[in-house]
Amino acid sequence: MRMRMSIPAKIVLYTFLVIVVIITFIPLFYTLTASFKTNMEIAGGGVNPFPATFAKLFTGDATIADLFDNYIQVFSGNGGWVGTKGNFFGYTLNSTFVSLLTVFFVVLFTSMSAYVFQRGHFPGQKFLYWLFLATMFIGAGSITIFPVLRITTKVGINNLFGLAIVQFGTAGASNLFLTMGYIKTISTELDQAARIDGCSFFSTWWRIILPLSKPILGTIALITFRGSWNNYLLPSLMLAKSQTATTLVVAVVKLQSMGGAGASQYNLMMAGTMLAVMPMLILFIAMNRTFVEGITAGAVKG
Amino acid sequence: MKKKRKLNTVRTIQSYLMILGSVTGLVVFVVIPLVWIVRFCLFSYKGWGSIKLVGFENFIRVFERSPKYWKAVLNTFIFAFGKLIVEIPLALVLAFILASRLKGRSFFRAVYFMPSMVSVAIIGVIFRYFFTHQGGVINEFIKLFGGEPVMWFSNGTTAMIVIMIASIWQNFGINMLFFMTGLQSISPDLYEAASIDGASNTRQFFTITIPLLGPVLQMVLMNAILGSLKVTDLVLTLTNGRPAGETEVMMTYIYKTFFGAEGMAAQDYGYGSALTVVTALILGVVTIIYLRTTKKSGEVYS
Repeated sequence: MRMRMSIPAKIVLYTFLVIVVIITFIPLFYTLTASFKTNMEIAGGGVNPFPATFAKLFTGDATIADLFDNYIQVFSGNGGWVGTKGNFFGYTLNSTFVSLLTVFFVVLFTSMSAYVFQRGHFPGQKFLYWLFLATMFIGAGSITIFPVLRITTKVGINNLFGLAIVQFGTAGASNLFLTMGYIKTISTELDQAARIDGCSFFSTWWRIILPLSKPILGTIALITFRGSWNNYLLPSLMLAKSQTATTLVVAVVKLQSMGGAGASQYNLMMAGTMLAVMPMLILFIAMNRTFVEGITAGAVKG
Repeated sequence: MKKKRKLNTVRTIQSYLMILGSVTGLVVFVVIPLVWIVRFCLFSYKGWGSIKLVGFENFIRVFERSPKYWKAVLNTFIFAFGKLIVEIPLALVLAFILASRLKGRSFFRAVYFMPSMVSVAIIGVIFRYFFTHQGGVINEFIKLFGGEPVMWFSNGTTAMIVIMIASIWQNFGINMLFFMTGLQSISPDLYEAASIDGASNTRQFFTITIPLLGPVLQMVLMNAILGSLKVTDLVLTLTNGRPAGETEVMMTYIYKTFFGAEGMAAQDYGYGSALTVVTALILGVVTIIYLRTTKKSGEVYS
């Protein structure tokens, strides 16, 4: 849309846009600054976002280590709030492991099945395709979380590995349709050429389709990574019995609920929150375009 | 051509093996759980002892003796309505502003989208801290401007408002993004032609932009409505239904009947399944009503 705007109109628009920017930033900004404060400081209130140690840094009354005291506490396991073994370094590793494994499963199997549905002919193809389509509309998610948990308990996979498998299984069919749409744009002449060169149905996928569909798979990988990293309900239930093998998001929420009515350890909670949020924000700043394209493609065109 | 092609055995076997992963994931973690829910809604089972067939008894209980559930249903709709009435217009306005060739639009777009990167559960934690009675940033600001601090979480109405604010904060950017994609797909020629004919900006907005944005608007609103009705994690970490079930929503209520909550044992799984089925039906009915009433906006000058 092209609009020619006068200077006052522009000032009004920019003011509005900047106000929304401030509203967007404020919660994250105060969370960040609170993560450097002592619990006393946070409970004391006030609107000053800057922690007292920050000013002391310049006068030499505090060291960098003092500033990062909350982070050191949650990392060293002295937080004592998730059971007695608050170990956020471990949780970070767990989150990373689960997310990467989920991405691996989703990308590998989605790519293969999209190829098979797009290029293959086999008995039962229509039925299976319909099955994927139907479940997409029902939108499983948390509505079936109880029977899912019964299954994982019975099979005995209530661990990080099992979590990745379930996240892959319940990821939904939109990835499949997105990839199928992409593969459709790849010329079938390439398939035929590969077959003449002696490629089987499988190796055509491995050598031709998989490398060529990297862009869409990259997008799916990012969205999946975000979903897994941020997931709460499923990991909180699947990993409920374990004190150490849990994810960052679950650990942060545990910090909150254990704070309970009495003296909440807001300082540690905010440090944990930043640990859970920061990697996503950094990833977003680095790959902002891919995210934006992936999310709009998945919803608008899908 | 299709019928004549002989099924190649090797190719067929490869096809089956290649979709095995996705199909297994779908069947084990989506289809079987759905079947489990549908079957169990006719039984009574407390997790121990025998499984009794009780017919429609569970549904009678849902419709006649579950005031708490229907209260939660009402809350869910209040939440969805209250937040969408702010979120969607805000997203639309921002999309319109950013769709014009404004300097810094990609910066604004990225910032507004940023909250979508944060885990929903973590957003609950952040806003819980933000609106805390003592030392919470919002109350500190209210005091700064001479107001009385508000006990946000001890009153159903204000607690619900906090949940709405948190949800709007998270989602307005992503909806803005969808609208922007829709706006960009409208041909600039139309506006040019309208300008030549002497149509004002306002007139162009109502005769070109709004009708052509119809299909996108319809889809975005549909997703936003269903997404809001399925709200789970945010409520669990922000208020957990407090005070006294005033902010309980459909999904959290179902979750609690299955898994139990503070001081409340898990209830009958059959009853929980019946609640799940009824909730799925409610979502289905909303979808159908929505699609019926908005059908017209979908059929625009093609």
